[in-house]
Amino acid sequence: MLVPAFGLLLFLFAFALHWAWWRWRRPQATATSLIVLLVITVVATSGALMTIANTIPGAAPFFPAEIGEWCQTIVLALAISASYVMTYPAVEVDSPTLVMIRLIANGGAEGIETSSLYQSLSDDFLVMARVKDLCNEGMVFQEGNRFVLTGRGKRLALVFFAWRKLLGLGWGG
Amino acid sequence: MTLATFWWLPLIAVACGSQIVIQIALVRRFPSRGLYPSILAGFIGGLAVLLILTGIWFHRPIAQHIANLGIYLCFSYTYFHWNNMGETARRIRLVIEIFDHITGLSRPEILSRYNSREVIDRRIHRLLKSGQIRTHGTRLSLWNPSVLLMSTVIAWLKWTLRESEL
Repeated sequence: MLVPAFGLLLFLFAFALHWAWWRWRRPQATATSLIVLLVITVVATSGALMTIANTIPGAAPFFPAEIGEWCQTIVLALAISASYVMTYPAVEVDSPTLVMIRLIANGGAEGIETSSLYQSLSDDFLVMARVKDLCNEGMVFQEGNRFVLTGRGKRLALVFFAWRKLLGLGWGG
Repeated sequence: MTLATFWWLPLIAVACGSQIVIQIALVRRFPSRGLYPSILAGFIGGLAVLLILTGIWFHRPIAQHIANLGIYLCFSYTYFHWNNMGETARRIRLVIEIFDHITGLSRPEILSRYNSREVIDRRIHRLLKSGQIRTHGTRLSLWNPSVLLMSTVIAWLKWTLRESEL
């Protein structure tokens, strides 16, 4: 069970560093920082553990055996990390769906009036806060009173244009 | 170093590739059924491929098969979110709206194209369609508590990362 165990431990170690960093000082570009931190930690820690396994006499049986097993361990840790990265936006910003579910749940069995959702959730909260996030992530910059895409923002848009076209679907949101 | 130690790689690559191919083929063939049924079908198809390949390579260590299953499940979750981003993410929608205008958009222009009303209406529609909530007259009430449970987990993660108060 060394490969799944080490894959999980590598992710947990990277997560612990992420937790400590965010508790200490949350970075501005959170998504980029999180991805870089998780990837570097997983790969560098695996390298360090491989060195330990190969240099300390008697340590080898407690670590994945061959290069193939190490690579599978790294892929597993990165796959768990990717899952976390995809979940993180819901942690970072208030997901409208989850906020709406909480508001509806607070109404009990009677529920709530649909109109109260429109009153509780404003344009600033649902839309303009995300524009600000895009500015922080370097996807958008403000020129006077206008919001303009940066090169990174354009590349992101093109990736999703291509993907949605491949699926034959229109725009969501 | 021998390539034989990488026996797991083609298995997981074929399973994940099958998921993508099945999902894309289904959503293109049956666009009216929407995105989510195709994602579920792709997941099941890819899992079936992985299980068949696991049966063929069953003489390999069980721990590595478990790791492969873990990789597949994480890939599926990530792929679901990737598709979901195009479907629900406000940031992606905003980037696409601004992309069409070389001089950018002002706040009123952004809100005339995409605003809180649309965000809320789309989500009410999805929650009703998926059976998470139900409607009686003009009122909405919770029907399935699974999303509420997810909301509690996310609230705990937010608190532990100091993103917000509990």
